[in-house]
Amino acid sequence: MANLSFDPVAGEKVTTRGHTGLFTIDSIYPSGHPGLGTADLKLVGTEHYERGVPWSMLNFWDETRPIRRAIEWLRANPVVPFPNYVVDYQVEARDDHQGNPAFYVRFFVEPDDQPSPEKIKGLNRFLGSVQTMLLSLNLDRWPYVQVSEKRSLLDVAS
Amino acid sequence: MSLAEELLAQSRFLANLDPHNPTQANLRRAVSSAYYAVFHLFSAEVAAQISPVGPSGLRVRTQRALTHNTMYKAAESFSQAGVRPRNLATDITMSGPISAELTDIAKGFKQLQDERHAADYDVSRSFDRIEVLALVQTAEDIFSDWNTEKISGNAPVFLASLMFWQLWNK
Repeated sequence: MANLSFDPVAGEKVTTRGHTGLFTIDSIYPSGHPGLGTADLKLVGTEHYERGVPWSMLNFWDETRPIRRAIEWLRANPVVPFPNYVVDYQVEARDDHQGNPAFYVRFFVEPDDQPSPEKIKGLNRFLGSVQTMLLSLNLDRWPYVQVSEKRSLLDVAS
Repeated sequence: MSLAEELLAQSRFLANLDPHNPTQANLRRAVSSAYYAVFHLFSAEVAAQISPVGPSGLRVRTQRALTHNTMYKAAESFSQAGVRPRNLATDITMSGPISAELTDIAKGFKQLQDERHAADYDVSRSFDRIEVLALVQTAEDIFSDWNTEKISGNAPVFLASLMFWQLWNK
């Protein structure tokens, strides 16, 4: 995971200490050192800019971004090959049943009324590998990794 | 067949009922049974480790004293391979790094407990067969991994942690 980056990118929504309101990252200026740089921020709905804000001062609006970054990195770097029947995923930040902070990563798969035992075992290996990778990031939320059939989304939408 | 094994078999049976139109009731009970299979597997193992067979009733009463919350916290601490469990008292010696089997057991236990809670209480959630089969498989893998792990030097520490974790960390 050497090239897995959590650096800010233009377009992300952030807040920053000492300034009220939600900003959009307008420009990024990496320092050349990993994780260090500054950003120009634009206050949402205005033409007001805050320039040269250190990355360390940015609070990202999307709590799930480290998980999304990691999963997109996994897609691009087949350390954990995505099974071809995995078609989408969603990430949610909320508390688990014990009231502890958690990420819920749900992978959606093609419907299959009678999946073979081998398919279920392969699916579990994939889910387990993703969870192990997410745990290695030492995030401040526990990563629960789940699976659902894609049609569940359609059921909810209808 | 032990109660834990019966519950595991029941979870597989319920998950496979009604091949084309499974009911939420069966799927939810399958998830709940999968969790309780694992819960009773470990509560029996913990009681066997820390309590003698006699006098009558002592071991069963010990088994009854385990709590979901303590087991959840202990499982979380054993969830990363190769490192000492976080917050484990330093005077307790581990025989070696936490094995891949034990981390899978710990992660699976925590996941199943959370899913069991949703299956029993969250009526807004809809379960489908593939996710339930994946959870049943997780429970079956825990049984299989425990067969390998239970003879390891770290197994007694894990079992004791399931009962005493919060008391150790008061």
